[in-house]
Amino acid sequence: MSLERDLLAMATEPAAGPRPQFFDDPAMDRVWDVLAALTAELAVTRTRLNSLERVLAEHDCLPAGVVDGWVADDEAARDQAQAHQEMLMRVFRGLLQDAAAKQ
Amino acid sequence: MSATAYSIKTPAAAPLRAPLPLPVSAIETHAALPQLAHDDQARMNVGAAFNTFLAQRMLPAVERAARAEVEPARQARLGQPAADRHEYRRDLEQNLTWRLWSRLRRSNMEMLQQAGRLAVLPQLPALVETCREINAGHDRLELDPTFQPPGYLSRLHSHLMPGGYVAELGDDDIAAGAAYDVVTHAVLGGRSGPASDRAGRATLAWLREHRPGWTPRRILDLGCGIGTNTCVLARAFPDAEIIAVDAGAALLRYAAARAASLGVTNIRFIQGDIETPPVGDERFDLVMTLMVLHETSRPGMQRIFASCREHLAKGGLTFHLEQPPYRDKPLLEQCLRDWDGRYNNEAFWSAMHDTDLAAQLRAVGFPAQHVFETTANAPPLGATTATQEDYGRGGAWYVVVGEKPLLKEVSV
Ligand SMILES: C[S@@+](CC[C@H](N)C(=O)[O-])C[C@H]1O[C@@H](n2cnc3c(N)ncnc32)[C@H](O)[C@@H]1O
Repeated sequence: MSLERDLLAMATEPAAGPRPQFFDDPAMDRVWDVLAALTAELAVTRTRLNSLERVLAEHDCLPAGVVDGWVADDEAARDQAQAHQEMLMRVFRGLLQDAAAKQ
Repeated sequence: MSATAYSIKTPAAAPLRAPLPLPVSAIETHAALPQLAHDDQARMNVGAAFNTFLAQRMLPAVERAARAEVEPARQARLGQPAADRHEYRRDLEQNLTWRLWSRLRRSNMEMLQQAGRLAVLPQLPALVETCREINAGHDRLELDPTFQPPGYLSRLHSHLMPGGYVAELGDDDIAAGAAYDVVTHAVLGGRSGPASDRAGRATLAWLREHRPGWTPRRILDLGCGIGTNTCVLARAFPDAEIIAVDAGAALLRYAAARAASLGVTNIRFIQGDIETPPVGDERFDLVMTLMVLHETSRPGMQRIFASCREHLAKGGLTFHLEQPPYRDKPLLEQCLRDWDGRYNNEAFWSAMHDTDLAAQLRAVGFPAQHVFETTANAPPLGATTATQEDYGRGGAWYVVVGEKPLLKEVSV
């Protein structure tokens, strides 16, 4: 799935209201927030891999080693780069929202 | 396998505060429901799992830290326990376990909201079209293009929903409704049932028990949101005429399309301010708010209560469902319950839970002997029942009721 940039920004706008700081050092809040997002994205990825393995097993269709030997073509590389951007928007949401809320 | 059971030396299983969440794929389908691709579903499910983890594993740690660290530290420093919730909370806020639990809870809520929006926005044009078509086929949606929502709804975005209830992203927008449907299910881990309508089922169960055989002919649902709970009453009382009011046009368009697609045809969804509901001088047998008052303001709530009395028919009932008030609860529990008020953008949460709602109903003219406090509950569908309070996300609801007597009271 590739997303328009402005949709990513729109979905990342902070909700209007106070942004609490729980730690003395705001950097600590940020680090934990990023960790939470990374953990969630990692769990999503593991779910995806698990689903994929089950689908492939059901269809009996992926010879061992094929993924390891695969190289992305231009289009796949572009899609994957776009997906990396999307993931970073999710993981660093809090950073961007803090910055936006200060304006 | 040997027949002898092997016993591992571990502590006994902790009592369930939050059962394993139901996947977002369990949401009751209808024509307007957004389609979630694999990873979007996974994000919702991971968010629900995160909340379950926070309630089941980290909340007990917070409670232990409060007893073992926070309370003794104050005692050692000042020689006396905290006098009220505010003192207790200021101590808690210095505690590492509280900080971590709070940080993760807040982060997870922000993530779920972002994930809900990111799942909905790419399919918004198609969803808008679907809702347009459905709503063109009936006349049960009444929007007011000149409507100005009360400030508390636009200034503060409840439970961190970007844009809040009243944002309009484009013509005939339904984004807030669609995101609300999906995110609410995930936040509650499906404990509110496939239609996120446990409050409606609790209301119905209460009516069946306390007014057996009663069939309200006209019902006014103030702050209906996407109408999931309204639909419970609409189905239970198919001959009743129901008016559901909300400020959010995007919610109402979605609610109307959802209800129509589910075959519910006795609810009219009207945009307006529930402080002065746009229903002329009509009267209703049942006037209710479900989980709404905590999002308003003190004067707002007083005006809502006054409107309830004004629009209640003789012999009718006004019914308000919320989380229980803080009074008489231990200070730690008050702080845990107050988390949403402080960190989840619930405008009137803290003050409302300190307010005597029954007294407020009496103050707008309900006779004292016709105002009472009660509780309502309904079994969570699908999920296993949690045996302990999750402080604000589960358990029994608090209800305050006012009745308008059939006959005028004779004052003595
Ligand atoms: C938490 S939702 C609950 C929705 C619904 N009662 C339910 O049980 O699902 C609160 C709703 O109240 C609405 N609301 C709050 N204050 C309002 C007001 N003054 N006028 C109209 N709607 C209001 C919000 O737009 C929101 O949809």
